[in-house]
Amino acid sequence: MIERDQAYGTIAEYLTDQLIVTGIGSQAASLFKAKDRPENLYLRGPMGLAPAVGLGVALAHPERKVIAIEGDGSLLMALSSLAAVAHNRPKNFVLICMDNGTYEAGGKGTTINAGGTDFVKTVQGLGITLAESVEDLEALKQATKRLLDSQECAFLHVRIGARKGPFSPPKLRPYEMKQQFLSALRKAPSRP
Amino acid sequence: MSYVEDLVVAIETAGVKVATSVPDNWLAPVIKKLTDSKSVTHAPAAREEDALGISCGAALSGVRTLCLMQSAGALNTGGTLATLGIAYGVPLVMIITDRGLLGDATIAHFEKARAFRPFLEALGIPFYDLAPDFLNKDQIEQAFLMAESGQKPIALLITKETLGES
Repeated sequence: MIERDQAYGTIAEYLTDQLIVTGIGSQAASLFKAKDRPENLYLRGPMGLAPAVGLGVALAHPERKVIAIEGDGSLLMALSSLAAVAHNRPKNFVLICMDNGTYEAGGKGTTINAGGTDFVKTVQGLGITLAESVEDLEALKQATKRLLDSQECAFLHVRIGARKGPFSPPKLRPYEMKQQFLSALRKAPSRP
Repeated sequence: MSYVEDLVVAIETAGVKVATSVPDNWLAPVIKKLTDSKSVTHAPAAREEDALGISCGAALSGVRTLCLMQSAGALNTGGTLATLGIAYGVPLVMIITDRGLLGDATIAHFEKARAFRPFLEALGIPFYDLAPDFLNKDQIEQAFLMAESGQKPIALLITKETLGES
């Protein structure tokens, strides 16, 4: 089990010019805390659509690596979006599921079928073959580096603990986030 | 040309880079042609919320995108339109088949036809019927110009008149 802040901090260490779309609530707040940057598009809604929105960014910009980060409860809410990811399988897309078995922003109740869903088998069954699960920090480091460097659509499941401390979402309004994200996109990537 | 060929020409001419869809009978031939397009990346989805999410992602990253669906599916997308399309000011065009109007009445379509346009009005989404000669009227390009100037989703509705069947 990895602490939430450690998981986001580890992923942040490997970020260069990747474009990131986060799910609502804890995912947005955690990335905002770990590494706020113009290339982050924080969703305020709807719940569960970070994979779809990230897929759209990836299809629009095949020259850029795109990451979508979603929680387990949100991913279960929009499992059909995984079929869209699997159908299109853009080589520049990585989907990360942060799984703590809890609706962090929804009253802290247990997510449906918590601990009983094998997300890796689920996405592999849909056709995303490059998929793995990690439960410790060293494995997360290796997997993050490997999947961000891969030239294949990939899925990473990260088993994390419950959030500790207060919840601090990004300060920008959605319209301002859009403008910031577009400005970052207009800049040339820092690497080929 | 048929409305199918006209629509694909209009979409390609407008410079659409990413199109998403969930099919119905009227849209299926359009989607088939879009899949073969050399200039449009077509991304099918299993549900309309997903299709709209993909389109929003593409639009939020600065490319022209549209989303094809039926009115029944559009009715599923209220939360996505409100919290993403409208809240973020996403300039995308939705092409929606408005089923169940006069001349297209079946038990399956009746109730959604009554709910659909009030649903768009409640969300404040501008919507316009696609004319049978929409290609000559440049309605697809005009819809994008409106979406981009207003930074808001726009809906173009396909009816039996659009198909030239009434």
